[in-house]
Amino acid sequence: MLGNKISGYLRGLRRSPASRYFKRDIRAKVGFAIVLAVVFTAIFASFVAPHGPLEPHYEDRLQGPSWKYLMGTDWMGRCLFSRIIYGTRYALAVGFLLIAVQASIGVPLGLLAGYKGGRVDNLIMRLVDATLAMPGLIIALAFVALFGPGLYKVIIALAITGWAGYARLMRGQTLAVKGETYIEAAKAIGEKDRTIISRYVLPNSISPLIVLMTMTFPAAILLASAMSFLGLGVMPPEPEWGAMLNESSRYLGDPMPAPLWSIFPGIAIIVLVLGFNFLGDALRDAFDPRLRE
Amino acid sequence: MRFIRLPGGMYGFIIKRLLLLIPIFFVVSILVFMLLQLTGDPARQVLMAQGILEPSPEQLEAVRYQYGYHRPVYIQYIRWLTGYPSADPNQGEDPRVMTRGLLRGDLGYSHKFQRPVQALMLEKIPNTLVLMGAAFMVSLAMGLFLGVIAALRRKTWADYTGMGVALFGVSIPNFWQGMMAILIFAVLLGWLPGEGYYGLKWLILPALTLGTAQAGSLARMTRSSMLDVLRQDYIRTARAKGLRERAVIYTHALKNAIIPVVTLLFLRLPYLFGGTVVIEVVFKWPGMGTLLVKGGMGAAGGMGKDWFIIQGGVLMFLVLAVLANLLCDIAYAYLNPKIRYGEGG
Repeated sequence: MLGNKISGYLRGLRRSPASRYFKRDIRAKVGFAIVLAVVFTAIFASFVAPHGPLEPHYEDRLQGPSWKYLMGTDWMGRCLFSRIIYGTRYALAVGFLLIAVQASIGVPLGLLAGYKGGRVDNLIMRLVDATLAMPGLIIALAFVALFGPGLYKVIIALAITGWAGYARLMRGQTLAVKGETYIEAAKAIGEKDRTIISRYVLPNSISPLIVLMTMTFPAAILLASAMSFLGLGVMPPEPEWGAMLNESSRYLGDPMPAPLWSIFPGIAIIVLVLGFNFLGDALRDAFDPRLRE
Repeated sequence: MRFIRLPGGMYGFIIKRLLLLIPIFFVVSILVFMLLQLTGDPARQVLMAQGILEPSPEQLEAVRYQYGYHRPVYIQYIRWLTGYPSADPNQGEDPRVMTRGLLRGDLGYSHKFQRPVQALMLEKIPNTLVLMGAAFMVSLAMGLFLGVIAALRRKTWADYTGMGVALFGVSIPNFWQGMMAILIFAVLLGWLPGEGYYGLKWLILPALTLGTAQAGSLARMTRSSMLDVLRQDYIRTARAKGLRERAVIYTHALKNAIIPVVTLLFLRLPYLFGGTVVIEVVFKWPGMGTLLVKGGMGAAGGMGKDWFIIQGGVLMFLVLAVLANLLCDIAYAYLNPKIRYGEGG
């Protein structure tokens, strides 16, 4: 049912002016290429990577780039290139899962607030305001201190505060649509609330939702890698980029400097985040005609 | 609050918001108190912080009575907050380890650092505030400069470079930027120290790093706000009056464009708090962030988590967030009369 509607929406989108604008945008092309390349790398990591991500080569510790190890090795002689390749899986998993969790909390609450209005709206929006005012990383830190580190726990820890943006967006969208005459008409012919929401309110909110998701993706990756860097997210020896930087930070200066080890994972994060930021900016401009120049 | 007549207008709004702080502080204190309770067994956590990772049932029992963890939760909370009821030796409670209450400035004793938590915090909080203040200034200066230049020189190389730098700024993991700053300026060039805090020289790298994290989004916001304002009729009027371009830009345009930017700046303060924690760890800054992460990491040095430290750190950052939010509301009400007289409060 809903799947049908979304595919119908996408078919309509292909011919829309937003789509034409988007296709001409250079940022969209670059961003899309980067994201596609990273997704491809993540899926075929075991074919792309020359070594296993956890495979130590004790005779080749802390080496610079060579043909055998394209980006050098770390303190256990693990191939950095292979580890960065496998790291794409963590980055994408964190991004997609975090967005999924945030949206699945925020969207229903926002819908409820906007659609019901009155006291429910007041209560939910107070909660949203309070959540937005909280420092997310501190809350996540406390959560991880309570329940321990790990990929899924970090995602929950970051979702505790991250859902509020989705709720606010969805409420705004719902309020905007609610005043339209076609909603009044649907109500007049006795449509149920559920039908009105799934047939009119949700489809009208897909575009801004997609934009918000694309724009929160890079933030999710940055936050999660920061948690891993602090030793509170994905733990070493897993080949997660933030965790790799956590290990490498001790080798920045004396007595055994290995700066390249710290440089490559950071560049990997930047490339992926830039890709999503390009895509997000292009999408936002395409869907919001006022922003076009 | 309907039974008390409050003055209207700006002052009434501020008084209302200040009164609202009381219940908010209440909620925050309950959240912070519950942290230790949620671990399941506070006595075990206290022993683990002392380095006893596998305590015997006798040890657990002894600590439970010493610290008064055998009492009902609400008694424990009231005691944690106010220090009353005071320790009862008849029940095995030990007045030497019993808290004197948050309201009297007692957050417990840190066994990890061998000092009372409040003494540690008094030592670290100024360092954190210095770092955050400096970073705030950096982000404000850089963000406004880049944004205004980009808006005024729209569609020139200055605009493209400025916005490119801003986009790059929001795409770099801040902690990695800090690592690179240490690598380049401390390790390779040796110009600036990259670790610790012993004077102004030590402040430069962390403040610049933390500041640029905010500057990127600030620059983008400033640019779009400035462009918005430049399109307004009153700017055209100002120009038509024959005002000099400089007067148009600085007194008319910038003044109006800055309102949403200031709001954004305050709204983004929670991010600054989170960012501080990360940057403090990178630069080994002796502040609350480092303390909080050290206290929250289990098993470091064969010790458990120090929950009194975690409670103190979380409490400080939550209180800062509440105050930042208050400032934001007041600033916004000051700038926007609609809020002031409406039902907002």
